[in-house]
Amino acid sequence: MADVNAMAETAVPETAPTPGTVEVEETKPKSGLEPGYLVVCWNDPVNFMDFVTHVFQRVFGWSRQKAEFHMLQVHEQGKSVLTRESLEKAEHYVHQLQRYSLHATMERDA
Amino acid sequence: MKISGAGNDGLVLTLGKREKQLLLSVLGQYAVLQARTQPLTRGGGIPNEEAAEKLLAESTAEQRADNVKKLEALLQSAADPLEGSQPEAASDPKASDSKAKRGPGGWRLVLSLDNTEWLLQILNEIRVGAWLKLGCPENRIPKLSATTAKEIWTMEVCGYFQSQLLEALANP
Repeated sequence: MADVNAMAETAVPETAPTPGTVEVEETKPKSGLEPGYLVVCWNDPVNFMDFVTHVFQRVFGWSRQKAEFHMLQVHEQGKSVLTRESLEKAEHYVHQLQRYSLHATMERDA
Repeated sequence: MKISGAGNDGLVLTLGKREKQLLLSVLGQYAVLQARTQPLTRGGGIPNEEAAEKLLAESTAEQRADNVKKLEALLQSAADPLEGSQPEAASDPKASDSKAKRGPGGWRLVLSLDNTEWLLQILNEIRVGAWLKLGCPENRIPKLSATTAKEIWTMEVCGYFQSQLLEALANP
């Protein structure tokens, strides 16, 4: 991901999860009858970090802090699982993210 | 470029003549942009995957067609009579929610919040399109040459306007 102005990294409060950990906040409980689908954002060298943060805030309604956490995960780990959803909802989110030219896909949750 | 907030109604961009030329120049590239199709999934396993991929491609194409029309309306409303192009037309609210007109302080572009998002999407799509034309370099700015100059310039100009809009949205 590109850093448009070589921005100084924003200090993250101690209570926030660190970018090195992988956390998936599940919006629905897993069920044996309902496969879930993961919405994944992949890293690329072209999209600006602050742009990606902004898109996450707009598409998911997240706070800046949460959006930055996932952006840093994409940047540092190559990808971030943004949410786990039903088939239709996951498709919707991928459509929305791709409208912003982010590299996003949906993957079946194992 | 000056950006001022119009409350919950969006932003007002005031551009000088040169900035206006820069913005219109990059926006004018949208119509000839090579469409980029992204897959819906990498790993597969999606029910009716082929149909879903087709739906995504169709939705993307439809959105692109809408964007071209909306951009044409915006570019028409921005035409400067002094430059010998079409007379400055009143913006057509049916064609676009954006209003562009020449004022004493420069060229003013009034954008609703939705249209600010739309402009961000367009600028990024143009920027990513230029990057694709450069062959998707890992290093964001490849070596400047006669063959890369146009795309590098496009990426830099789009990036400038994107960062200005993002800063304005983050700091109303």
